[in-house]
Amino acid sequence: MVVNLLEVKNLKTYFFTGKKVLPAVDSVNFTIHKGETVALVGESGCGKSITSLSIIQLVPQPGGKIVEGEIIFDGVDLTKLSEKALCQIRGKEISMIFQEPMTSLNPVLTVGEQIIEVLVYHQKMDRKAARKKAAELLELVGFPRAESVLDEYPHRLSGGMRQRVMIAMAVSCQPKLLIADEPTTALDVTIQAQILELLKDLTKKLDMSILLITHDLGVVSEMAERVIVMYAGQVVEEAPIEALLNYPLHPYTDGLIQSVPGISGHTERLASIPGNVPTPDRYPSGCRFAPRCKKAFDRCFKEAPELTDHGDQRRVRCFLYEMGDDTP
Amino acid sequence: MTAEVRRDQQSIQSVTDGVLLEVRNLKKYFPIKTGLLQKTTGYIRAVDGISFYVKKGETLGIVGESGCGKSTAGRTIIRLYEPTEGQIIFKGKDISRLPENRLRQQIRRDIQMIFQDPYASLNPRKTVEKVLKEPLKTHRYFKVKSEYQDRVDELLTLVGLDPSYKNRYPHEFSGGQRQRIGIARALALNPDLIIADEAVSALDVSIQAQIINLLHDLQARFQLTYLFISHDLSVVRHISDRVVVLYLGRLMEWAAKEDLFNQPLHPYTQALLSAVPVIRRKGEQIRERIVLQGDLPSPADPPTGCVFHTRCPMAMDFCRKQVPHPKAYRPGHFVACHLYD
Repeated sequence: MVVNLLEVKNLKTYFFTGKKVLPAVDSVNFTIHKGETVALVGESGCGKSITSLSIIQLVPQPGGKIVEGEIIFDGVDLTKLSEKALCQIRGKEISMIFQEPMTSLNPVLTVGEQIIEVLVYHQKMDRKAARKKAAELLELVGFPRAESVLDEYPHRLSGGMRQRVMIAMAVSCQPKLLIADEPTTALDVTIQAQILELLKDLTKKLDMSILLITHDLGVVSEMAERVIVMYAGQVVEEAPIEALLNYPLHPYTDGLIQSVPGISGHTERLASIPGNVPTPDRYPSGCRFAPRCKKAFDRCFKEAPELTDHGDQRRVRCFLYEMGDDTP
Repeated sequence: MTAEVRRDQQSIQSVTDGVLLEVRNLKKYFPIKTGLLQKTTGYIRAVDGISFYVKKGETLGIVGESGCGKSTAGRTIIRLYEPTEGQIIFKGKDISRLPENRLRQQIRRDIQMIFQDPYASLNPRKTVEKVLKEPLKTHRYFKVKSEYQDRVDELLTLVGLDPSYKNRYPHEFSGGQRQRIGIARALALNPDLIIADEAVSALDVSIQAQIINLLHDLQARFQLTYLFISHDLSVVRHISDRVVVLYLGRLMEWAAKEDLFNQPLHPYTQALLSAVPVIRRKGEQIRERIVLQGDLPSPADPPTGCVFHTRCPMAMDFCRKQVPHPKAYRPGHFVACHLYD
């Protein structure tokens, strides 16, 4: 049975700078089921990271604010919770890993102390038990000599090892949801392969859901069951992974997939999307992708399309697919 | 030098027709200095004896993970770093020991560089026009002032930017546009060789595709030769004619693109290729992935014998003792591995 773990409903996160209002996240809707890995895909500035920060109520301050919407996690609306209540959820029920582990680890504390801190705070363990548990966690994420790593400082570890430490901290309280924001972008491919294998392994062992935020469609293809594509602060397409990669509906998704140079090797020109991603203060009226879209017609420049159901768990925001007409 | 190495170098040299750049046994060591007196206590062997060549009009991809020496190799070739040992033969002349003043007159205009981060490589206080005029003026490229103006307009048009943008500052452009300016600057002096160091790595995929296409067009138009340094195997596969794979400062494999990607010989190349996450289209089989154990050893203290033996799934006893040298497995396909002895 499919149980909804997280429901994001009509989320709007805006940034207020001086007189300008920047709609970084504009009416985003999606759900994540229990035990599922969902990928949030898009290019820089599409709002994918701000969406994830909104979920755990850590929108960058000052300026950022959730102006509308609900975030229902395990039956509770996180937007209505007090800071104190949120502290019981962050790191325990929902945890997060970031792109650059060095900036998220404390350089003056040993790896052990940082993991122990989480366990003492959330699990109310005593320090001795926490240390034992920390060693187990490091073993779980693939450190062969876990005991000795506990007393190392982060700068003594390589990028891949630091990311393993971050993952160990993140899963220390068996979270229901792990938000992974570009977890392997800063790593070399052979190390990336190790980390992805580890994450896959952990979802099974710990029965947790992952919200994977990435720009790399290759990583998505290997990890996710469902994909949400964002463009200019909005969801433009949502579909199961196979369907999305083989039959993308939205012209942006199609362009994105075509732009990736294939490792399977074609030497003809890459299909690129002309122009640039618009910044939040210059979103065009009508469809936000229209100025770069090959298939755009008059209506696209005047009206904004809605995200509509397209059957088979697919949703798309494009006039080409309105009224069940799926032959563009 | 063993007889074997000599024979291999001969086999490399026997096909040198149309070679624009050749690197022979290039080494770059950085001293590790410690203590109050900054005594040298050791060396980082960033590039440790690599040899390859690039033919005119060709693109040679250099791939490897961080710390493999690919950027150091690029910078040593353009003489931003002084080579510790070895020869850099450009247009038939050894430039590895050329003094700075002659280097500037002869070499610097013929070899240009494009960097990864267009934000960092453009002076924020100069307009695009000034940025593009600077190399031209340094080399006194034209006699008449108006010619500089025309060249700037021409360069901007070449890279797909409107010439009216020339009065703007770098911060007014997007990442992709800035990289176009970086390319225009590299083109300004009509170079023969462009060294592109992670030139598209910082860009979003849709913009990356635009820049790759632009590099392709410019190469066809001006018979440019590229040394394309990147960690991204898909991009390298797309753009290169031949590919060099580096690991810990050493050359592991060097082959034509098709050979390298279809039939990688070195266990490291095989693992590297299998590690790339790819978009799986319908009907495609799940590839078997070789997950390498452990991390890259330190280049200050590289393993004995084959530098890859500590992570190699096929390592034999022999690999710990004997350094493998690149040998031709078939014409044009070189591999440094004892499995192919």
